[in-house]
This record gives sequence, C-alpha cells and structure tokens, in this order.
Amino acid sequence: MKNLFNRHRFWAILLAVLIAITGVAAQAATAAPSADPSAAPQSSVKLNDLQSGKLTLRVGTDATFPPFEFTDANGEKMGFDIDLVRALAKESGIKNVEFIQMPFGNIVPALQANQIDVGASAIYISDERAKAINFSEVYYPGGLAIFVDEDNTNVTSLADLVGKKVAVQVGTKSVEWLEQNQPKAHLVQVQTNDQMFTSVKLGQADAVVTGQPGGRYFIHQQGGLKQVGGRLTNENYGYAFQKSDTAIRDVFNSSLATLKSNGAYDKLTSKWFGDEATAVTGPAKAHGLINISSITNSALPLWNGFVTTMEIIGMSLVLSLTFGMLGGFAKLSKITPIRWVGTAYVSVIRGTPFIVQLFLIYFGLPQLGLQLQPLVAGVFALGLYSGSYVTEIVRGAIQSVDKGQMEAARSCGMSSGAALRHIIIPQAFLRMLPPLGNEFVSLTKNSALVSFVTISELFLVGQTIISRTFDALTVYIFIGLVYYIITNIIGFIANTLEKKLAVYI
Amino acid sequence: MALLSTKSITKTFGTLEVLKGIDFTIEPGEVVAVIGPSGGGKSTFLRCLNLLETPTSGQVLFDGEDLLAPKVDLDRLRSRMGMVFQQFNLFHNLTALRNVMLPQMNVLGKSKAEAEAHAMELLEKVGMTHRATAYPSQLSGGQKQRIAIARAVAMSPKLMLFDEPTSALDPEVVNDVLDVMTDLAKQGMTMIVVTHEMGFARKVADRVVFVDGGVIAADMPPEEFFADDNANPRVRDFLNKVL
Repeated sequence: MKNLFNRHRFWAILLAVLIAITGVAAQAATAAPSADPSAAPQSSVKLNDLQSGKLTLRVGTDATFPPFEFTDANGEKMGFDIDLVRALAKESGIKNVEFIQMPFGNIVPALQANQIDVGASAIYISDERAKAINFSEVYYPGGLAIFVDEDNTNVTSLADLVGKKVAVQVGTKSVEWLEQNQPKAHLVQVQTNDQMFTSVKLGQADAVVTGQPGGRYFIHQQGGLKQVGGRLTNENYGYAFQKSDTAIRDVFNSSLATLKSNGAYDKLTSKWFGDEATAVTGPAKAHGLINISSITNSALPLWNGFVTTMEIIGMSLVLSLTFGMLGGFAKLSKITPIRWVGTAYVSVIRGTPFIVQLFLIYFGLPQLGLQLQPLVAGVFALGLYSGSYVTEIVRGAIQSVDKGQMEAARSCGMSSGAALRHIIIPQAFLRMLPPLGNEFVSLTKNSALVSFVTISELFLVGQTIISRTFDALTVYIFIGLVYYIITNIIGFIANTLEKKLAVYI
Repeated sequence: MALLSTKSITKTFGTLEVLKGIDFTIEPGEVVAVIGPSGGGKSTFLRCLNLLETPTSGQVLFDGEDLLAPKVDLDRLRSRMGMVFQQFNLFHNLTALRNVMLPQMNVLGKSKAEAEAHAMELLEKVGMTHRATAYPSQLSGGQKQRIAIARAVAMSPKLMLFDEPTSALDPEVVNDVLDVMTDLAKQGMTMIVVTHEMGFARKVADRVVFVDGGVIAADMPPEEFFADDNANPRVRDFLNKVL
C-alpha cells in the first residue's frame, strides 16, 4: 500500500520533474527501461527483452467497459481482455505484464507516443485505425447494437434514431459509424462506458449505440435497458500494436491460434460472456439513492487514490511556487530579455486551457523524443499552469511593498539581494498568502484533470468505481466532499499562517 | 580635505530638469542646512549624494572616492553615509531593536550580541529602550524617527543625510527629534539636513545652503543668511513667506 508519508517516492518524482525541466529528461527517459522511445523501431529486440523479463509489456486499457475490462472493488483490473492478454503473453513467453488505465480515446495516441506496447480495450478493427496502428487477428467477434430504456417503444430500428439523442463513447467506432449510417441522429458523446447507459436511464439520451457484448453485460448486471434490433455491424475486436511493431503482434497471433486450438480460449469466452441470449432484456434492479457500500467496498482503492491526489498536490505546489518565484522575479528584472521570458510564460500559460497543456506535454512531447511518465507529466503540467498565476501574485506582492523599504535598506549599505531576503520578501510573502491560498485551492481542484493522463488519483478511482457500480450519485458526492475538505484545510492553513506572520501589521 | 563634494551635478526626469549643475562641499564636522522652496530640488540633491538617484551628469566625491566610477563598491560607501527619511522607512517586519541590529549584522558583519549591545546603547540615547520590542506599526511618528536615526547612527557613518526628518511629524514631537539631531551635531557628526525648521538651521547649522530652481542660490553662515539685510532677493522673498 502506498504511504502518504513515503518521502522517497515524493522526492523521487519531484526530482524526475525537475530533471525533465532542465532538459535532461530525454536521456533520463532512455535510461528508464519501461519508456524507451529508441527501442520502438526494433520490435524484435523489444520482444527479446520482454521474453527475458528485462522489459514489462505495457498494456493500455480503459477498464470501464465490462465484461471486457473493468475494475473490481479492490482496484484490480479484470475482464475478458485482461484474462486473454495475460494468457497470450504467457503463451508468448512474455514474463511481465502491466495494465495501464487510460481513457479509450487516448489508447491510439499512447501507442503512437510509445507509452504503451499493446492496446487491449475492446477495440474494433477499422481501416481508419489501421493507418495509425497495427492490429492482431480477430480475437472476438463483435458488432454495434442499439439499446434503449426498457419502456421505450419509439425506437425499434436504426431508422428510428432520426432526430434522437444517441449516447456514444467518445473515440469509439460508434461515433464514426453513426456519422456515416445515421447522420440525422444527434450524438451525445460521453467519456466513459457507464455514462452512455446512465444517460439513457436519466433521460439525457434516447438510445445507446455500442458494442453488443458490453450492452448485454450492462443489462445483465443492472437491467432497465433492452436491446432493439439485431447487430448493426459485423465487426471484430483486435488488439492494437505500435505501427513499427510486427514482432510482438506476430507472436500474439500465433499464441491466439494455439489457445483457440487447445480449448483455453473457449473457457475464457464462456467465463465472461456466458449465454448471451439471456441478456437481451432484463428488469431494472432496485438501488437506493445513496449507497454507502459503493464507498466502503472500495475503501482501499479510494484511499490509494486520495494518497496519489495528495502527492500530486504536494509536488505540484512545490513546483508552482518555484515557477512562480522565478517568473515573478523575471517579470521584475531590469534585464529586458529576462522580463520578456516572464511575460511570455504568463501570457502563454494563462492564455491556454490547462487540459490542452497537459495533453501537449503527455501526448505531444513524445513526438519530440521527450517521453514523460504520467505522474511526471501531470505534476509538471499542474506546476507549470499554477506557476503562471503565482508569478503574477509574486510580482504584485513585491511591487506593493513600499519603495522606501528598499531605499532604506540600500542606504544602509545592504545589497539588493540582502534587502530582498530580509525586508522585501518577508513583507511580500504576507501579502501573497491570501491569493496563494486561493491559487492552491484551484490547483487542488485542477488536479482531478490529470486523471486524463492515466494517473489513478481520486477522481479516476471514482470513475472506475462508477463503471462497476453505476452509482454516480454516491461516488461523486463522496469525492466532491473529499476535495471540499482538502481545499478547506488549505484555506485554513493559509489563514493561520497569515495571522501568525501578521504580528507586525 | 572635503568629506564630500559635488561638481556640477544635474538631474533630469524626462523633460524636467530638476538640478541644473550643483557644486557643493562639506568638511568633516560641519552641519549644513539645506533649505528652499518646495520643488526647488533640495531632496533630489540630497538623494543624489548617496545615489538613491543617479545624477544625469556631474561628479560626486565622498571620502576620496568617486561614487559614479564604474567599479566603485557603492554598498560599502553607502554604509558610511547614514540616511534619515521623511517617512522614516523603518523595516515594517522587524521590531525597533531588530531594525537597528540588522544593518550592523548584515553590512558590518557584527555578531548578534555585539549588534544588540550597540543597538540598545543607541536606543537609550534616543530614549527608546522601553519600546525596543515594538513593531513600527505600534509606534508614533516621533518614536519611529528617533529609531530611524539610531539605525543610521549604528553604522558609525562619517556623514548623515536627513531628508526633511520632521516634515511628517505632529508639531508636539518635532522637538524630540530635533533634540536628538542637535545632540548628534554637538558630538561632531557631519550632517546635511534638508529642512523647513528655520530655528534648527539658525541654531545648529554651520552653513545654510539655499536651493532654488535647481541651483544653489546662496551658501553662507546662518547669521548672514537670516540677517534682515540679506541682499539676495530670492532668499528675502522665501524668508518673508516662511517666517
């Protein structure tokens, strides 16, 4: 279990962030065995390293899509894809497998950026995707189907979706297929699998178009929905590999053939899909509004998520203060080019959305050969973003200190550095405290966004719990409460510190 | 040899020429009162002497060194010139005692114990030992100014610059501060005092320098300056207004 007070991990990650900043990260990333961009072109070398145990097979998956991949109450990933990839890796002689959580839409970019080796997330084989990545042979036949509320009688076929709101998961095949085959449907694009079904249940959408196995599994688990019509398409699921990689794909293909012939594959399909016919429709199951068990059953993953969130906040806070101090002094510098750097930093970082910066750092920089681990990228992005606000806070506070203070210090013979250290900064710091408190409350709230780069912090843990329990109300209330408590503690610390330091006011 | 001298210093802010060429000298032990109408350049002149303002042209020589020379150690020279401001400028975040101690420790490298002993001695002289642990916000203007003088004196300067030290004070405490300054003058401190206190200029100063329109319009002993038959019409005009 992760320890909140595990200082080694804290400083190790902070150090990694700082190394990244100083531009040594390219080399550092090369040294890290699990993130080696230079190995990408030589997939047979990589396969050897995987088979010898030198490298770990990194499998990207969006574990919010039962029964293919989801997360149990203890935070363990499970499902058909998880079992099959493990079996295929074992058959292929690959020793270590690691599943990495990421939103479905990020899997292809992550393969292109060499952040993962395999995408295993109920991905349909399509020509469009095949331009960017390689696919294995078909490992499971699938196809899109329509699901509606069990009381809905208006929608019985694809033609009935004209003018209807249809929930689809962003980045999935459903989007592309509907745009071509039923352009008159209004697509409601949601982030996660469970949100599609929930939006129909809540009346936010009229229908769901998604893979038949996933829809049927939902009906089997939760009820309240029904499938209308047969399969819309006859698509097939495949595992995705990096475009440059053929060796791992080939060995997976031959392992798949072996598992199919020796009966291991059939065992897995019956374990996870059972008898599909029973799941075409089913009654809604009773749920209370607030289910404390949704929280208590997942106490451990929630605690781990909380610890990760606190680590992220702590590290990005240190970084934000560092950037803010540097930026603030740069903006006050007498040297014009340095002042420009400070001004440009604030202008660019404050003038663009945080999520764009985060994705640029995590998905964009690998194209320049700078590959960062998710936590490093997330902390760096948060620190960089928050630092731009701290820059203005620092600049404003220092400028607000009476000019006479500096003059008095200088006329005693103190250097400007000594005057800053003993007189100006202590006074400016007191003025910074209230706005800094506000900024760190913002930082805390923004930390939920780093879930997008696969960091299992509190918010992402919550999402995975919801994908299993479909209890959005309880889980989001609980998570909101946790953030509320954290932000209030930060506010309290800032206030207390201010009172303590303000003895001379 | 003169302790400080200036050669034709000028100072321009944008298009405004505040100082139009000032030549000035002061000998060790002298007390010079700088007086003149508002906006005449008195304060700018004083601030040019320790380079809080950099003169646009001209020369400032102090203790045998050229303050405007490229590689001069300005901090070291400034530590030998105490400055007292109209707005006191005590360090807000430090107690009275720490205000007097910090420059001694930071600039002169004195130990904490030495600095504290010397500071307490000086606070005693200005009658402020009872407020040693108070922060500036807890002190009156007159108290602040006496501590500011102690802070400057603590550096054992060769020259003290006073920039209208009593102008921001309530009338009833002006004399407390002037008494401290008079004591300093009696102990032989070299002082340049920009002031509107004509009584102080008349009684304590060795010379009165009249700055008007960016130049020194008169420089003479106080008895001549304040004499009814002062021949300078600008001085007569000024004195008629203030006395």
